[in-house]
Amino acid sequence: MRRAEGREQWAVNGESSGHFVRSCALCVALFAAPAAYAQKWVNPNFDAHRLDYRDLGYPDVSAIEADDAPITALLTAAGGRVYGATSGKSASHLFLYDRAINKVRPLGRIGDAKGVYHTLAQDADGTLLIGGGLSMLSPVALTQSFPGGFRAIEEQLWKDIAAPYADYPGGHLYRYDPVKGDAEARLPGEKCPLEDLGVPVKGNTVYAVALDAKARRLYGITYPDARFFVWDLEKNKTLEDLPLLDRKVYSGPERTWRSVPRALHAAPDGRVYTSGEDGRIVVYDPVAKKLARTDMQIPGEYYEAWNYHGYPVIEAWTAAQEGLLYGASSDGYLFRLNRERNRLVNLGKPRLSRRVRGMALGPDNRLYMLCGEFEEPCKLFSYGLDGEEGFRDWGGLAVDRSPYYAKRAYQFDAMATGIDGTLFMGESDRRACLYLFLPGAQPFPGGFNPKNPR
Amino acid sequence: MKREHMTARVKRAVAACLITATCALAADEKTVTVQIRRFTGGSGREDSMWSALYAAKSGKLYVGLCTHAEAAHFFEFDPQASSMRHVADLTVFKGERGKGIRTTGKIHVRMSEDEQGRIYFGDFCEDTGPECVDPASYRGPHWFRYDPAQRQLENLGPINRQWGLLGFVLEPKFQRLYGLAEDGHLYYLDLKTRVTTDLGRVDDWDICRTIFADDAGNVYGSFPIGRVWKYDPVKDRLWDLRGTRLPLDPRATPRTMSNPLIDRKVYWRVIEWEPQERVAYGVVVGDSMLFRFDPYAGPEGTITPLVRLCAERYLGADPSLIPVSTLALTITPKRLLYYAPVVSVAFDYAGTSWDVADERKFTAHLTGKDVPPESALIVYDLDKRERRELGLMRAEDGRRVFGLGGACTGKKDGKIYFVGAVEERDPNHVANKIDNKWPFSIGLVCYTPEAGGAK
Repeated sequence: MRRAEGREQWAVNGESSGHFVRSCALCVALFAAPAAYAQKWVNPNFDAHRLDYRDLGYPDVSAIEADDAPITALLTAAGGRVYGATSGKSASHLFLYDRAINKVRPLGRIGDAKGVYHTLAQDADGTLLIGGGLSMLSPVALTQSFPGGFRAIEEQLWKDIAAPYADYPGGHLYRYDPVKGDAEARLPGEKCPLEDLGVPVKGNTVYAVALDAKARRLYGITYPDARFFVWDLEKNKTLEDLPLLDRKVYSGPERTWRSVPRALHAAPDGRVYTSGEDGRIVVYDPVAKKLARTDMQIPGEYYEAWNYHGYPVIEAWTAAQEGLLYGASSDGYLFRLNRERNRLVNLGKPRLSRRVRGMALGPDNRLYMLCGEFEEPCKLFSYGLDGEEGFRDWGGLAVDRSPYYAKRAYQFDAMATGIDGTLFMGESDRRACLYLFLPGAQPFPGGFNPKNPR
Repeated sequence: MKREHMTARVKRAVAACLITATCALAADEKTVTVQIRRFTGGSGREDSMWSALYAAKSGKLYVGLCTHAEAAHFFEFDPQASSMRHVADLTVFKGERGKGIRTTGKIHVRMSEDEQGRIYFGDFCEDTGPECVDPASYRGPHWFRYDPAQRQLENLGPINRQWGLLGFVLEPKFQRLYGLAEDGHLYYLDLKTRVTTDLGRVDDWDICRTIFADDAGNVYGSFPIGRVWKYDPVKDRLWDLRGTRLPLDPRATPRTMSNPLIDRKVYWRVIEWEPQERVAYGVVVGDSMLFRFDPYAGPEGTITPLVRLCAERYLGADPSLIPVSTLALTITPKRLLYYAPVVSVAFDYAGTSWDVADERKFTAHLTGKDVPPESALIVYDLDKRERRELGLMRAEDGRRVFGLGGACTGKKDGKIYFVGAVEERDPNHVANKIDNKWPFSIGLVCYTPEAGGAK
């Protein structure tokens, strides 16, 4: 407002300036009655200085190539460094954000992986476990012309989705040692020093992982075959390879993805949680070595009146207070799961559209979520765990530090909380950056940022 | 302190500008006579036009007009027969009317043509609304093909769910339509398979308005700050060129308190491939600098600044005062480049967001009372590297030509065509008023080089 007043005063009091404006600065929007707006810049609905971003390396020198930059996994390591992995056209890259230098450093290409999707974990010794595969963000070409017949549409859809995996040997599991690997910055094209642990499930991408370090087990889900695997971290081999889903369904807003659960949670008691057929919570019992379907159903749109076999899948898990687990479904719902009581509570959804692309617990007793589908701008929401605040819409994610830099982000696919409470958000568009949000922001009265055009 | 410095700087610049402006407003001001024709058969209330003017090999012109919060219209004009044909109201064609939904208000791209003479384009909604109708109701933008022989408009399928096109080119070698959409993503339609592919994000929030293809099939666009991206269809990779940058004059931006300061002023506004020389010529948004982009020179191509194409009165002024450039550029087969800058702020974009809640009210306070925004006509000889201002455009009856949104060279008659806002004296044809003062309608403007007309 001060700037606006200053400008007005200049225009009124500055004689020559005023003349100039009157004679030269015409038609701010040419068609003045209904303004023909150009594209609108939209600042977030909170103190804008609490949002910033970092390039993934030194631009045009060490930065991860734009085509390979979409961030699809983030993890805050015990030491406070934040690690991330990308999914790209030519390769997946590992990077770190070092809070001591306030920068992202690329750590090199991850083996032969083109994608790392929700598959970072830290082992007890500080090393990182990485699940690789093809890029989930790669476009899938759907065949338009094919022979007709009974269920031909679904069958062709599956053929198209499975086509990139026809000759694919399978995504690897890798181990990365930060003590050895973090010391050197790497230029584009250079390999990340990794131990290749092997392929847990042939012909599949590793899609989600959860670690039980004490039991020396890494649990995983694969795509597109929806296998649940148990990996022995001592012997480096697959102990179990179980079918997680019976049917191939295509739920949610993505038209080229099979609906496969995207998150796993390994509880302290050794049991592992995800979702399965009909949206039921599925639990793996490491003693029985079996997946068991529970009576709990994740919230979503089930279209009971339709002849429809689909269901939403789990997108993210976040452990909060003892025994309480928060989950988000691909239809955009948040729910609370009490593991001890086997009780699931639907907390609703913050956004009309679907998907929760990232979720993390903030230091302010809020659960933060990145919500939005492909082809629409993601927005930041929170849910107050005190049960009083409910959902809060923090708005779009745009940074304006012009004239130095400015960017409006649309797509995100990963989120992690730093040890100081900063929320790290992985943009997943081409030329992606790592976004930082400092909780503690205050919303503007009335909700909207008053400087955004309305 | 900072404000005082700014004020002094602006005052100095203003003084220089006033001198030139005063000179320009003198009685001996140069003008150039043009012919103006109405668009008929549409709503008669189309209120804007951006880029969508194409001269086909047949000699006919194809035009897309926009109506804010309503409909885009597609026209065919035959200069030989002097006949105007309204081909389609896209809201009717797409079945959007009478549904209470967001509609296709714009065709915001320069069309392209295939070997068979069929015309291609994509459409657009996002910022046109209708603003009070739920955005989720919009059915999405589409690729279109018009076959003049059959007089048939065809919908080639959706581009994406939401984001219409601002940049567009048909690339003949690989038989693809490329579209730069408002989400900053580059999409292409494979004309053989009819499959649309999202190649990823190449632009930021304020999208580059024109893209082009070289004759090897590579596609190029611009993004902030002064950068160029390139899509290589052979490698199927997008590259942000590292060393090839646009010639930006640091004095030309920022010009106001726009929010953010980094916006479209720092990339190219319009660009056109010149097949004889196998280079592209483009104009930078902020200061109208014409540049030559040779994509084959060096590993990434080379960009060379040539001359500013702003109105003459600004050539000696502070570059920060130059109005934002327009989309009205065309290159003739004789390698003459015609360009129509405005002599005050801009046609479709002010370059000025005053960072206040009520921009309209604030702007009204600042805006002048009796000087409308007019278009000048500049010609630049690519071989001699000489620029000349022919004058302010005026119809034979004295009507003024306001902002222009596109230009082309008639393929058979060699005339220079523009489309944009022209002064409207008939109340029955007024589409709107500029700044609530100057009534206008959208007209087809024609300049005949052989006839001249500069005064």
